[in-house]
Amino acid sequence: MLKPSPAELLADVAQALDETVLTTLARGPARNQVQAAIGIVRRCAEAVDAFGPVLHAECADLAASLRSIAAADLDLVPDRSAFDGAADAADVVLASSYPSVPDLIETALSLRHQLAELAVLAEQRRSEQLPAIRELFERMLDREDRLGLSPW
Amino acid sequence: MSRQDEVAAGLLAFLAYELGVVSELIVSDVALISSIGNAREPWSFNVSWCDADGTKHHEQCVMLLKAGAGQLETTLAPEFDTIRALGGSDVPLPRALWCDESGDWLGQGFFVTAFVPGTATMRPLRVEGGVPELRSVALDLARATARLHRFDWRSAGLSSAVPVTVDDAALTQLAIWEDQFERQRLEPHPALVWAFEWLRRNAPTAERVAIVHGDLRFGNVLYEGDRLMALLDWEMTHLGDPVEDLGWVYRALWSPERSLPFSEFLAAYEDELGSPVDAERLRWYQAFSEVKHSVISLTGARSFADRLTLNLRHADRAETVPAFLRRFFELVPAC
Repeated sequence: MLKPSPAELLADVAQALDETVLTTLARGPARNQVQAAIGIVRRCAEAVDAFGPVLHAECADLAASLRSIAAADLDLVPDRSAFDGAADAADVVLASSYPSVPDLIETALSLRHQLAELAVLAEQRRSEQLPAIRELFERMLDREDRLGLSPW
Repeated sequence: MSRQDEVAAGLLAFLAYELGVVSELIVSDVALISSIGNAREPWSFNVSWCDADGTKHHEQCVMLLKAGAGQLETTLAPEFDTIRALGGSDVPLPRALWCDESGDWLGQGFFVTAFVPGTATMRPLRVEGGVPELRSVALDLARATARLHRFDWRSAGLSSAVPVTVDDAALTQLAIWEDQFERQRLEPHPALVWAFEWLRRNAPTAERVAIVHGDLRFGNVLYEGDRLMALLDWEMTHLGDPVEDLGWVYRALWSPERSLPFSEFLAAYEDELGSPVDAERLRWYQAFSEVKHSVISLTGARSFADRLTLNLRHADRAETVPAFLRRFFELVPAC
Protein backbone atom coordinates (compact mmCIF):
# COMPACT_ATOMS: atom_id res chain seq x y z
CA MET A 1 0.00 0.00 0.00
CA LEU A 2 1.21 3.48 -0.80
CA LYS A 3 -0.92 5.52 1.57
CA PRO A 4 -0.08 6.25 4.26
CA SER A 5 3.59 6.28 3.33
CA PRO A 6 6.11 5.27 6.02
CA ALA A 7 6.82 8.95 6.62
CA GLU A 8 3.14 9.80 6.97
CA LEU A 9 2.55 6.78 9.21
CA LEU A 10 5.39 7.67 11.55
CA ALA A 11 4.24 11.28 11.76
CA ASP A 12 0.65 10.23 12.46
CA VAL A 13 1.76 7.76 15.14
CA ALA A 14 3.80 10.45 16.86
CA GLN A 15 0.83 12.82 16.79
CA ALA A 16 -1.54 10.19 18.17
CA LEU A 17 0.81 9.29 21.01
CA ASP A 18 1.27 12.96 21.79
CA GLU A 19 -2.44 13.64 21.97
CA THR A 20 -3.68 10.46 23.61
CA VAL A 21 -0.86 9.15 25.81
CA LEU A 22 1.55 11.92 26.69
CA THR A 23 -1.16 14.20 28.01
CA THR A 24 -2.31 11.50 30.44
CA LEU A 25 1.08 10.89 32.02
CA ALA A 26 2.30 12.64 35.12
CA ARG A 27 5.84 14.01 35.26
CA GLY A 28 8.26 11.17 35.74
CA PRO A 29 10.23 8.41 33.98
CA ALA A 30 7.28 7.06 31.96
CA ARG A 31 6.40 10.51 30.59
CA ASN A 32 10.05 11.18 29.80
CA GLN A 33 10.29 7.92 27.86
CA VAL A 34 7.12 8.57 25.85
CA GLN A 35 8.20 12.14 25.13
CA ALA A 36 11.57 10.95 23.89
CA ALA A 37 9.95 8.25 21.76
CA ILE A 38 7.58 10.74 20.15
CA GLY A 39 10.51 13.01 19.31
CA ILE A 40 12.48 10.16 17.74
CA VAL A 41 9.49 8.96 15.72
CA ARG A 42 8.80 12.51 14.47
CA ARG A 43 12.41 13.03 13.38
CA CYS A 44 12.43 9.64 11.65
CA ALA A 45 9.25 10.66 9.85
CA GLU A 46 11.08 13.72 8.52
CA ALA A 47 14.17 11.75 7.56
CA VAL A 48 12.85 8.49 6.17
CA ASP A 49 12.16 9.73 2.63
CA ALA A 50 15.54 11.44 2.32
CA PHE A 51 17.61 8.71 3.95
CA GLY A 52 18.18 6.53 0.86
CA PRO A 53 19.01 9.39 -1.53
CA VAL A 54 21.27 11.11 1.02
CA LEU A 55 23.06 7.84 1.70
CA HIS A 56 23.55 7.29 -2.03
CA ALA A 57 24.98 10.79 -2.40
CA GLU A 58 27.24 10.14 0.58
CA CYS A 59 28.65 6.95 -0.94
CA ALA A 60 29.14 8.57 -4.34
CA ASP A 61 30.91 11.58 -2.83
CA LEU A 62 33.09 9.44 -0.57
CA ALA A 63 34.08 7.08 -3.38
CA ALA A 64 34.93 9.87 -5.83
CA SER A 65 36.68 12.07 -3.25
CA LEU A 66 38.77 9.27 -1.80
CA ARG A 67 39.95 8.22 -5.25
CA SER A 68 40.80 11.82 -6.10
CA ILE A 69 42.67 12.48 -2.84
CA ALA A 70 44.54 9.19 -2.96
CA ALA A 71 45.57 9.85 -6.60
CA ALA A 72 46.87 13.29 -5.65
CA ASP A 73 48.89 12.01 -2.68
CA LEU A 74 49.86 8.36 -2.98
CA ASP A 75 51.48 8.36 0.47
CA LEU A 76 48.07 8.67 2.12
CA VAL A 77 47.15 5.08 1.22
CA PRO A 78 49.79 2.67 2.53
CA ASP A 79 47.45 -0.33 2.11
CA ARG A 80 46.51 0.08 -1.52
CA SER A 81 44.83 -3.30 -1.71
CA ALA A 82 42.34 -2.56 1.06
CA PHE A 83 41.68 0.90 -0.31
CA ASP A 84 41.07 -0.29 -3.86
CA GLY A 85 38.90 -3.11 -2.57
CA ALA A 86 36.65 -0.70 -0.70
CA ALA A 87 36.47 1.71 -3.63
CA ASP A 88 35.76 -1.05 -6.15
CA ALA A 89 33.06 -2.55 -3.94
CA ALA A 90 31.49 0.89 -3.69
CA ASP A 91 31.47 1.23 -7.46
CA VAL A 92 29.58 -2.06 -7.77
CA VAL A 93 26.90 -0.93 -5.32
CA LEU A 94 26.60 2.52 -6.86
CA ALA A 95 26.33 1.04 -10.35
CA SER A 96 23.15 -0.78 -9.35
CA SER A 97 19.90 0.91 -10.42
CA TYR A 98 18.41 0.75 -6.94
CA PRO A 99 20.98 -0.20 -4.32
CA SER A 100 19.42 -1.27 -1.05
CA VAL A 101 19.80 0.87 2.05
CA PRO A 102 21.69 -1.92 3.90
CA ASP A 103 24.15 -2.16 1.00
CA LEU A 104 24.58 1.61 0.98
CA ILE A 105 25.16 1.64 4.73
CA GLU A 106 27.82 -1.05 4.46
CA THR A 107 29.44 0.83 1.61
CA ALA A 108 29.43 4.10 3.53
CA LEU A 109 30.93 2.43 6.61
CA SER A 110 33.70 0.88 4.55
CA LEU A 111 34.52 4.14 2.79
CA ARG A 112 34.40 6.11 6.05
CA HIS A 113 36.89 3.68 7.53
CA GLN A 114 39.25 4.38 4.63
CA LEU A 115 38.67 8.11 5.05
CA ALA A 116 39.51 7.95 8.76
CA GLU A 117 42.87 6.30 8.07
CA LEU A 118 43.64 8.60 5.19
CA ALA A 119 42.73 11.73 7.17
CA VAL A 120 45.00 10.81 10.09
CA LEU A 121 47.94 10.28 7.75
CA ALA A 122 47.16 13.53 5.98
CA GLU A 123 47.19 15.42 9.29
CA GLN A 124 50.39 13.75 10.45
CA ARG A 125 52.15 14.61 7.20
CA ARG A 126 50.51 18.01 6.72
CA SER A 127 49.41 16.79 3.32
CA GLU A 128 48.31 19.29 0.68
CA GLN A 129 45.13 17.22 0.53
CA LEU A 130 43.97 18.44 3.95
CA PRO A 131 41.78 21.21 2.48
CA ALA A 132 40.06 18.68 0.22
CA ILE A 133 39.54 16.34 3.19
CA ARG A 134 38.14 19.15 5.27
CA GLU A 135 35.76 20.14 2.48
CA LEU A 136 34.62 16.52 2.29
CA PHE A 137 33.92 16.57 6.04
CA GLU A 138 31.85 19.74 5.58
CA ARG A 139 29.79 18.14 2.81
CA MET A 140 29.22 15.11 5.04
CA LEU A 141 27.92 17.41 7.75
CA ASP A 142 25.67 19.15 5.22
CA ARG A 143 24.12 15.80 4.37
CA GLU A 144 23.57 15.07 8.07
CA ASP A 145 21.77 18.40 8.34
CA ARG A 146 19.46 17.41 5.48
CA LEU A 147 18.28 14.41 7.48
CA GLY A 148 17.50 16.54 10.53
CA LEU A 149 17.84 13.70 13.02
CA SER A 150 19.46 15.63 15.84
CA PRO A 151 17.29 15.77 18.98
CA TRP A 152 18.75 19.14 20.01
CA MET B 1 8.95 -3.02 50.06
CA SER B 2 8.95 0.12 47.91
CA ARG B 3 12.17 1.47 46.47
CA GLN B 4 11.87 4.41 48.80
CA ASP B 5 11.63 2.08 51.81
CA GLU B 6 14.61 0.07 50.55
CA VAL B 7 16.73 3.19 50.22
CA ALA B 8 15.65 4.39 53.66
CA ALA B 9 16.52 1.06 55.23
CA GLY B 10 19.86 0.93 53.45
CA LEU B 11 20.73 4.46 54.54
CA LEU B 12 19.79 3.72 58.15
CA ALA B 13 22.01 0.64 58.19
CA PHE B 14 24.90 2.48 56.52
CA LEU B 15 24.71 5.45 58.88
CA ALA B 16 24.46 3.22 61.94
CA TYR B 17 27.69 1.60 60.81
CA GLU B 18 29.33 4.85 59.80
CA LEU B 19 28.43 6.91 62.86
CA GLY B 20 29.33 4.23 65.38
CA VAL B 21 28.21 4.70 68.98
CA VAL B 22 25.24 7.04 68.69
CA SER B 23 21.66 6.99 69.81
CA GLU B 24 18.30 8.15 68.47
CA LEU B 25 19.45 7.67 64.89
CA ILE B 26 16.54 8.54 62.62
CA VAL B 27 16.49 8.66 58.82
CA SER B 28 13.38 10.36 57.49
CA ASP B 29 11.78 12.06 54.49
CA VAL B 30 13.62 9.91 51.98
CA ALA B 31 12.57 11.01 48.50
CA LEU B 32 13.84 10.74 44.94
CA ILE B 33 14.57 14.24 43.70
CA SER B 34 13.06 15.00 40.33
CA SER B 35 16.09 15.57 38.17
CA ILE B 36 17.52 15.18 34.70
CA GLY B 37 20.83 13.91 36.07
CA ASN B 38 22.16 10.98 34.10
CA ALA B 39 25.04 9.27 35.89
CA ARG B 40 23.77 9.87 39.41
CA GLU B 41 20.33 9.37 40.93
CA PRO B 42 19.66 12.16 43.45
CA TRP B 43 17.80 11.49 46.69
CA SER B 44 17.01 13.80 49.59
CA PHE B 45 16.64 12.79 53.21
CA ASN B 46 17.00 14.00 56.75
CA VAL B 47 19.08 12.34 59.45
CA SER B 48 19.36 13.06 63.15
CA TRP B 49 21.29 11.39 65.96
CA CYS B 50 22.81 11.93 69.39
CA ASP B 51 26.48 11.50 70.10
CA ALA B 52 27.61 9.59 73.17
CA ASP B 53 28.04 12.91 74.97
CA GLY B 54 24.45 13.87 74.21
CA THR B 55 25.21 16.31 71.41
CA LYS B 56 22.33 16.31 68.97
CA HIS B 57 22.93 16.43 65.25
CA HIS B 58 20.64 17.03 62.35
CA GLU B 59 21.55 17.07 58.70
CA GLN B 60 19.43 17.79 55.68
CA CYS B 61 21.09 15.69 53.01
CA VAL B 62 21.37 14.95 49.34
CA MET B 63 22.55 11.51 48.28
CA LEU B 64 23.88 10.83 44.81
CA LEU B 65 23.46 7.15 43.99
CA LYS B 66 25.29 5.71 41.01
CA ALA B 67 22.75 5.10 38.30
CA GLY B 68 22.74 2.42 35.63
CA ALA B 69 24.74 2.73 32.43
CA GLY B 70 24.34 5.94 30.53
CA GLN B 71 26.71 8.50 29.21
CA LEU B 72 29.74 7.89 31.38
CA GLU B 73 30.94 5.43 33.96
CA THR B 74 32.91 7.14 36.72
CA THR B 75 34.06 6.11 40.17
CA LEU B 76 32.90 8.05 43.19
CA ALA B 77 36.11 8.48 45.15
CA PRO B 78 37.74 11.23 43.04
CA GLU B 79 34.50 13.21 43.10
CA PHE B 80 33.92 12.83 46.83
CA ASP B 81 37.57 13.39 47.73
CA THR B 82 37.64 16.61 45.72
CA ILE B 83 34.45 17.93 47.29
CA ARG B 84 35.77 17.05 50.72
CA ALA B 85 39.16 18.65 50.06
CA LEU B 86 37.48 21.87 48.91
CA GLY B 87 35.30 21.95 52.02
CA GLY B 88 35.83 25.15 54.00
CA SER B 89 37.50 26.89 51.05
CA ASP B 90 36.14 29.89 49.19
CA VAL B 91 34.75 27.66 46.47
CA PRO B 92 30.98 27.27 46.90
CA LEU B 93 29.95 23.64 46.92
CA PRO B 94 27.94 21.21 49.04
CA ARG B 95 29.58 19.99 52.25
CA ALA B 96 30.83 16.41 51.89
CA LEU B 97 29.42 14.02 54.50
CA TRP B 98 29.75 10.31 53.69
CA CYS B 99 30.72 8.03 50.85
CA ASP B 100 30.31 4.35 50.13
CA GLU B 101 32.00 3.00 47.04
CA SER B 102 31.28 -0.65 47.82
CA GLY B 103 27.61 -0.78 46.88
CA ASP B 104 27.01 -3.13 49.83
CA TRP B 105 24.37 -0.93 51.45
CA LEU B 106 22.24 0.25 48.55
CA GLY B 107 23.26 -2.00 45.68
CA GLN B 108 25.26 0.83 44.09
CA GLY B 109 27.89 3.19 45.38
CA PHE B 110 26.79 6.58 46.64
CA PHE B 111 27.89 9.62 48.50
CA VAL B 112 26.08 12.13 50.67
CA THR B 113 26.44 15.88 50.90
CA ALA B 114 24.63 18.48 52.92
CA PHE B 115 21.63 20.05 51.24
CA VAL B 116 22.12 23.42 49.63
CA PRO B 117 19.07 25.51 48.70
CA GLY B 118 18.63 26.84 45.20
CA THR B 119 17.76 25.90 41.68
CA ALA B 120 19.82 24.69 38.72
CA THR B 121 17.23 25.53 36.09
CA MET B 122 18.56 26.68 32.72
CA ARG B 123 15.30 28.28 31.55
CA PRO B 124 16.52 31.87 32.16
CA LEU B 125 19.41 31.24 29.75
CA ARG B 126 16.92 31.44 26.86
CA VAL B 127 15.40 34.80 27.79
CA GLU B 128 16.07 37.27 24.99
CA GLY B 129 17.97 40.26 26.28
CA GLY B 130 19.20 38.35 29.31
CA VAL B 131 18.21 38.35 32.97
CA PRO B 132 19.91 40.65 35.52
CA GLU B 133 19.92 37.98 38.22
CA LEU B 134 21.55 35.50 35.87
CA ARG B 135 24.21 38.06 34.96
CA SER B 136 25.08 38.32 38.61
CA VAL B 137 25.19 34.54 39.01
CA ALA B 138 27.42 34.20 35.94
CA LEU B 139 29.84 36.77 37.36
CA ASP B 140 29.80 34.84 40.64
CA LEU B 141 30.58 31.72 38.65
CA ALA B 142 33.53 33.37 36.92
CA ARG B 143 35.05 34.36 40.26
CA ALA B 144 34.29 31.03 41.91
CA THR B 145 35.95 29.25 38.99
CA ALA B 146 39.07 31.33 39.43
CA ARG B 147 39.14 30.49 43.13
CA LEU B 148 38.75 26.81 42.29
CA HIS B 149 41.63 27.00 39.85
CA ARG B 150 44.01 28.65 42.29
CA PHE B 151 43.10 26.29 45.15
CA ASP B 152 46.20 24.61 46.58
CA TRP B 153 45.25 21.01 45.89
CA ARG B 154 48.66 19.68 46.85
CA SER B 155 48.38 21.00 50.40
CA ALA B 156 44.87 19.59 50.57
CA GLY B 157 46.26 16.13 49.90
CA LEU B 158 44.70 15.59 46.51
CA SER B 159 46.49 13.62 43.86
CA SER B 160 45.84 12.01 40.54
CA ALA B 161 45.88 8.29 39.79
CA VAL B 162 48.01 9.21 36.78
CA PRO B 163 50.50 12.02 37.54
CA VAL B 164 49.74 15.14 35.55
CA THR B 165 52.27 17.82 34.58
CA VAL B 166 51.95 21.10 32.75
CA ASP B 167 53.56 19.43 29.74
CA ASP B 168 51.12 16.55 29.44
CA ALA B 169 47.88 17.89 30.94
CA ALA B 170 46.24 18.34 27.53
CA LEU B 171 47.57 15.10 26.09
CA THR B 172 46.48 13.16 29.19
CA GLN B 173 42.89 14.28 28.80
CA LEU B 174 43.02 13.71 25.07
CA ALA B 175 44.20 10.14 25.60
CA ILE B 176 41.41 9.47 28.11
CA TRP B 177 38.72 10.68 25.74
CA GLU B 178 40.25 9.03 22.70
CA ASP B 179 40.32 5.73 24.56
CA GLN B 180 36.65 6.23 25.45
CA PHE B 181 35.90 7.05 21.80
CA GLU B 182 37.62 3.92 20.50
CA ARG B 183 35.70 1.71 22.95
CA GLN B 184 32.30 3.28 22.50
CA ARG B 185 31.93 4.19 18.85
CA LEU B 186 29.59 2.17 16.65
CA GLU B 187 31.08 3.37 13.35
CA PRO B 188 34.30 4.89 11.97
CA HIS B 189 33.53 8.62 12.52
CA PRO B 190 36.38 9.85 10.27
CA ALA B 191 35.92 13.52 11.16
CA LEU B 192 36.30 12.72 14.87
CA VAL B 193 39.31 10.52 14.20
CA TRP B 194 40.90 13.43 12.35
CA ALA B 195 39.86 15.86 15.12
CA PHE B 196 41.71 13.81 17.71
CA GLU B 197 44.81 13.86 15.53
CA TRP B 198 44.59 17.61 15.04
CA LEU B 199 44.19 18.15 18.79
CA ARG B 200 47.17 15.90 19.47
CA ARG B 201 49.42 17.76 17.02
CA ASN B 202 48.36 21.13 18.43
CA ALA B 203 48.18 20.28 22.15
CA PRO B 204 49.21 23.22 24.34
CA THR B 205 51.33 23.30 27.46
CA ALA B 206 49.52 24.33 30.62
CA GLU B 207 50.63 27.19 32.84
CA ARG B 208 49.58 25.32 35.96
CA VAL B 209 48.03 22.05 37.06
CA ALA B 210 44.83 22.74 38.98
CA ILE B 211 41.55 21.12 39.96
CA VAL B 212 39.41 21.02 36.86
CA HIS B 213 35.66 20.68 37.47
CA GLY B 214 35.25 18.91 34.13
CA ASP B 215 31.59 19.78 33.61
CA LEU B 216 31.46 23.41 34.67
CA ARG B 217 28.31 24.95 33.22
CA PHE B 218 24.86 26.22 33.92
CA GLY B 219 22.82 23.15 34.73
CA ASN B 220 25.49 22.19 37.27
CA VAL B 221 25.31 25.54 39.05
CA LEU B 222 22.95 25.96 42.00
CA TYR B 223 21.75 29.52 42.44
CA GLU B 224 19.17 31.44 44.41
CA GLY B 225 18.01 34.77 43.02
CA ASP B 226 21.16 36.56 41.93
CA ARG B 227 23.51 34.51 44.06
CA LEU B 228 25.60 31.46 43.21
CA MET B 229 25.05 28.88 45.94
CA ALA B 230 27.10 25.85 44.89
CA LEU B 231 28.91 24.09 42.06
CA LEU B 232 27.39 20.64 41.53
CA ASP B 233 28.11 17.44 39.59
CA TRP B 234 31.82 16.93 40.10
CA GLU B 235 31.87 13.47 38.52
CA MET B 236 34.30 14.51 35.78
CA THR B 237 36.64 16.39 38.08
CA HIS B 238 40.36 15.77 37.61
CA LEU B 239 43.71 17.49 37.88
CA GLY B 240 44.68 19.24 34.68
CA ASP B 241 44.85 22.52 32.81
CA PRO B 242 42.18 24.79 34.32
CA VAL B 243 41.58 26.42 30.94
CA GLU B 244 39.70 23.22 30.12
CA ASP B 245 36.83 24.49 32.29
CA LEU B 246 36.81 27.80 30.40
CA GLY B 247 36.56 25.92 27.11
CA TRP B 248 33.45 24.13 28.36
CA VAL B 249 31.49 26.71 30.36
CA TYR B 250 30.14 28.80 27.48
CA ARG B 251 29.31 26.10 24.95
CA ALA B 252 26.17 26.98 23.01
CA LEU B 253 23.99 24.37 24.73
CA TRP B 254 24.26 26.05 28.12
CA SER B 255 25.76 29.46 27.49
CA PRO B 256 24.61 32.43 29.62
CA GLU B 257 25.79 34.72 26.82
CA ARG B 258 22.44 36.52 26.67
CA SER B 259 22.90 37.66 30.25
CA LEU B 260 26.68 37.95 30.39
CA PRO B 261 28.91 37.97 27.30
CA PHE B 262 31.81 35.54 27.48
CA SER B 263 34.28 38.43 27.23
CA GLU B 264 32.96 39.80 30.51
CA PHE B 265 32.94 36.36 32.13
CA LEU B 266 36.55 35.91 31.11
CA ALA B 267 37.50 39.38 32.34
CA ALA B 268 35.97 38.65 35.75
CA TYR B 269 37.77 35.30 35.87
CA GLU B 270 41.13 36.84 34.95
CA ASP B 271 40.66 39.63 37.45
CA GLU B 272 39.95 37.16 40.26
CA LEU B 273 42.74 34.82 39.21
CA GLY B 274 45.24 37.67 38.79
CA SER B 275 46.52 36.55 35.40
CA PRO B 276 45.32 36.52 31.79
CA VAL B 277 44.18 33.45 29.89
CA ASP B 278 46.08 32.57 26.74
CA ALA B 279 43.70 32.92 23.79
CA GLU B 280 45.18 30.09 21.73
CA ARG B 281 45.09 27.67 24.64
CA LEU B 282 41.49 28.65 25.31
CA ARG B 283 40.58 28.02 21.67
CA TRP B 284 42.23 24.58 21.80
CA TYR B 285 40.15 23.68 24.84
CA GLN B 286 36.99 25.00 23.20
CA ALA B 287 37.70 22.72 20.24
CA PHE B 288 38.57 19.86 22.62
CA SER B 289 35.23 20.41 24.36
CA GLU B 290 33.33 19.70 21.15
CA VAL B 291 35.20 16.43 20.73
CA LYS B 292 34.72 15.55 24.39
CA HIS B 293 30.97 16.11 24.20
CA SER B 294 30.86 14.09 20.98
CA VAL B 295 32.38 11.15 22.85
CA ILE B 296 29.96 11.60 25.75
CA SER B 297 27.09 11.44 23.27
CA LEU B 298 28.51 8.38 21.52
CA THR B 299 28.89 6.66 24.90
CA GLY B 300 25.22 7.26 25.62
CA ALA B 301 24.25 5.94 22.21
CA ARG B 302 26.41 2.87 22.71
CA SER B 303 24.84 2.20 26.11
CA PHE B 304 21.41 2.15 24.52
CA ALA B 305 22.54 0.08 21.54
CA ASP B 306 24.04 -2.50 23.90
CA ARG B 307 20.89 -2.42 26.07
CA LEU B 308 22.86 -1.31 29.10
CA THR B 309 20.20 1.37 29.42
CA LEU B 310 16.69 1.65 28.05
CA ASN B 311 16.59 5.41 28.59
CA LEU B 312 15.33 6.70 25.24
CA ARG B 313 17.18 9.99 25.71
CA HIS B 314 20.28 8.01 24.76
CA ALA B 315 18.75 6.18 21.81
CA ASP B 316 19.57 8.84 19.22
CA ARG B 317 22.27 10.68 21.12
CA ALA B 318 24.80 10.02 18.33
CA GLU B 319 22.78 12.40 16.16
CA THR B 320 24.04 15.32 18.25
CA VAL B 321 27.64 14.81 17.07
CA PRO B 322 27.38 16.64 13.70
CA ALA B 323 26.53 19.93 15.44
CA PHE B 324 29.56 19.55 17.73
CA LEU B 325 31.77 18.84 14.73
CA ARG B 326 30.49 21.94 12.98
CA ARG B 327 31.53 23.99 15.99
CA PHE B 328 34.90 22.22 16.02
CA PHE B 329 35.50 23.22 12.41
CA GLU B 330 34.55 26.82 13.21
CA LEU B 331 37.18 26.87 15.94
CA VAL B 332 39.96 25.11 14.04
CA PRO B 333 41.61 27.20 11.33
CA ALA B 334 41.21 26.01 7.77
CA CYS B 335 44.12 23.92 6.55
